[in-house]
Amino acid sequence: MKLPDYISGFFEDTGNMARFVARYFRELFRPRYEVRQFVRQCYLIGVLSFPLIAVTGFIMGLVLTMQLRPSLIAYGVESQLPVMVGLSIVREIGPVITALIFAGKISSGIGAELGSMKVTEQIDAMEVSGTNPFKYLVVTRVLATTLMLPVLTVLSDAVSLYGSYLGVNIKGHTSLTLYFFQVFQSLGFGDVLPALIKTFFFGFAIGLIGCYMGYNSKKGTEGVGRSANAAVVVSSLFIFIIDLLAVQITDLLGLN
Amino acid sequence: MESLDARSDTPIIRLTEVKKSFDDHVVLDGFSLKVNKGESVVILGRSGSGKSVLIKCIIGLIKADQGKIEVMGRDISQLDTYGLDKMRAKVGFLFQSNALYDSMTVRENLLFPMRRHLTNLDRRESEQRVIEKLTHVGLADTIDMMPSALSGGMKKRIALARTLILNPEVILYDEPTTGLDPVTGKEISLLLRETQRKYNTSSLIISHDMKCVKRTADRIAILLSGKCYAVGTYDELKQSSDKNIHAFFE
Amino acid sequence: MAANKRNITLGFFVSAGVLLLVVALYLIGRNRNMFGSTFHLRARFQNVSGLMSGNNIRYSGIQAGTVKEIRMIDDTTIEVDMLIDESMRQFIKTNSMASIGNEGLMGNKVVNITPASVPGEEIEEGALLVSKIVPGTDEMMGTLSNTNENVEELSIRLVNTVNRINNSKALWRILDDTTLSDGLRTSMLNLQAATTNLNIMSAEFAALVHDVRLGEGALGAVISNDTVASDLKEAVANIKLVSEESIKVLLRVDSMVAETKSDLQNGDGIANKILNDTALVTKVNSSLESIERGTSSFEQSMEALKHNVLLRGYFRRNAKKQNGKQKR
Repeated sequence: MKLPDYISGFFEDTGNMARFVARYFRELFRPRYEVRQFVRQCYLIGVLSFPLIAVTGFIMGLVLTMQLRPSLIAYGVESQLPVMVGLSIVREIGPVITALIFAGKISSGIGAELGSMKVTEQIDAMEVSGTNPFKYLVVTRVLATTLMLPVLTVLSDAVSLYGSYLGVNIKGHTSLTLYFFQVFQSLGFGDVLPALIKTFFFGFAIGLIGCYMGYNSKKGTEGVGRSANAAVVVSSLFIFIIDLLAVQITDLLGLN
Repeated sequence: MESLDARSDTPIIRLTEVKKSFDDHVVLDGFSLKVNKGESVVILGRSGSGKSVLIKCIIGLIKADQGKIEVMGRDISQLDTYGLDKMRAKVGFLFQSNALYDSMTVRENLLFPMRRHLTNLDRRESEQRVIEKLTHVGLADTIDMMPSALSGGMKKRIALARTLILNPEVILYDEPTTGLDPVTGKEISLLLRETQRKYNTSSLIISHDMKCVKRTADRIAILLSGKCYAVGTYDELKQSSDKNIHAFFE
Repeated sequence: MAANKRNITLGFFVSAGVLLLVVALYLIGRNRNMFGSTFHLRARFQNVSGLMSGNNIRYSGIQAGTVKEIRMIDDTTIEVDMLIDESMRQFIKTNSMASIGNEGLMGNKVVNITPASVPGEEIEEGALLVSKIVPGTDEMMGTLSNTNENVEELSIRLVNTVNRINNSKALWRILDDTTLSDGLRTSMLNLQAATTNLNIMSAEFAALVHDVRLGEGALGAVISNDTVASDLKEAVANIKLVSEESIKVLLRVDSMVAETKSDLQNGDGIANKILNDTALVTKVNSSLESIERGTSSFEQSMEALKHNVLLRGYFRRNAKKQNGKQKR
């Protein structure tokens, strides 16, 4: 029996991606380590994404606070505003929004970069030059996204909370100390740690999918565009799938 | 370890009955050819006839299905990653699209092959070597430029400089003049010839540009239907009455 | 040089992130009393109403620590292990009391430690605090609904009573009747007179008793005289004699009865004659009838009483009780 093309194509992609992941872990632990390139990618991926992520995080915190206030007033719990916003930012909105922005910026960037390298034979050239392109290009990038996204998320959370503090002060008044005291009073390790751990997986998925799409780019400039686009779409989808799994797992572990 | 230096009487590259197909499409169907030391051989063929596939099989980027590929007396299908790297240090490859790393300066592009090979050179020595190769291709002043700022011909020269950086014994050229204007194409062809003389390299050139072929070839092999259809000098083949051969010379 | 600058920026970036995370975790940890010096206290409860480890502990409303562990000691006792800030130790005394309360209306549970009104000794590590049961909302609601039911029944009865009083003509007639009050007044006067008489009598009686004690008067003589005592003794002996005689008479009567019985059976003797005398029978019958008539008139008066408005309630309740008993 012959499967329809879109079904067999789906399984083919899934299989290829699984191989890609397996190869990633093989190459990750086998020496030589491309440390310099890794540090460089950390800079390019992490540091250079910070301004964008800080701005979105700030706006998110501010807007969320202003949007939540009327509902909380309706229930007479306006004083819980910092708690509500703090919890939503730390537990869900911070990690997911940061990851989505990061995916939009980085996953597409990696997809396009590796795609064009593939198309212009730069990857072949590397291999011919005695450098393992998978290690040099894929491992460093995926590792960088995996480690940088959690850092970015923590920073983005902090900026979001500051935005939220300003949001509280637009119509009310609270001191920064009191605001952060209230937020941290309501937070537990069960709120911070699962949220932080899932960002590692977000980062891994974003880097890996970007690299996979770029590394397997089809010939021609159209292939590059397609890789970049697919990288964003698939990694954004993966962020939500991982988020869903994460909430189930933390629930099972009783951390919620 | 056995020396990779080939004796002068052994061919530097020997292809025996190489076969390669992608899915149902047969590209190489028993191709055989010898390249002797110091010789410049051009493989002539139409677009899509499998010339690039053949040259990538030699460097190990594509694995042949059947047949034997010997580079400097060693069967490359028997080589592990380490041996393959060793072999590649002796075999230069000039890509059709130059394959300069977009994110690096010209200097970094040239230094890149040296990060694995020639690690015994210190910073000053490698710098010197970079300048030497750039001077050879006539572009020493571009050392700190990005590849995107260079013209097609300049990129080709830089790519050649990068190919030469490890002092290879044999260089594989993948359509070196394609996409260049005739004047630049002529310059590149002459540069190829000069390189061969200066660094005493053997060359295997893939092309369908007859002007380039005429300027660079000691011998010409015609690739047709996945086989080596004919071998000979430029003049020999030009006088051939075979219409398949004659078609290239019109 | 450029690469070096980049590395510095990267290092700064990563350190900032890690530092923020560490500070955040430290702040959370401090709220959970994971750092700094603390000591343990325990308290036992029957019901912790959803208290969980990590909940706050308040001493007179001040944050003093967190609940570390909650464990079952036996089927009715739960022990709560509390981590208290060392700085609170000097304030918490051995006679302080622990109770479980709410933090806000819907908020978490808290353990409240309240100081006793009398001074006590300073508390030691791991001491067991006295726990105070604060009625939970459930219990309060239960009591309230009970009270409610009682109030409802009371009010229904009250309404009934008021209605009955309002509708009762007899009562109103009594209340309106001036002669009745006059009568009552004379009765009261009579009573007063009787009471005065009684008083006089009791005074006289008291004098009499006094006389008796002194052996004066007839009774006094009887009690205080020795000769009387010996006479009494004699009399008792006589009585004894008489009773012995009477037993003999009884025995005779007994035999007589036996004889009469046999006479009756045989159809002769005096008893038989009496029984067969019809005139006597009619006399007896008429007297029985008159007794019956008397009873029925009594019943009628009883019935009348029952219908009497004031007493109706009493009878009805009686009837209900009897019904209830029968049902059971």
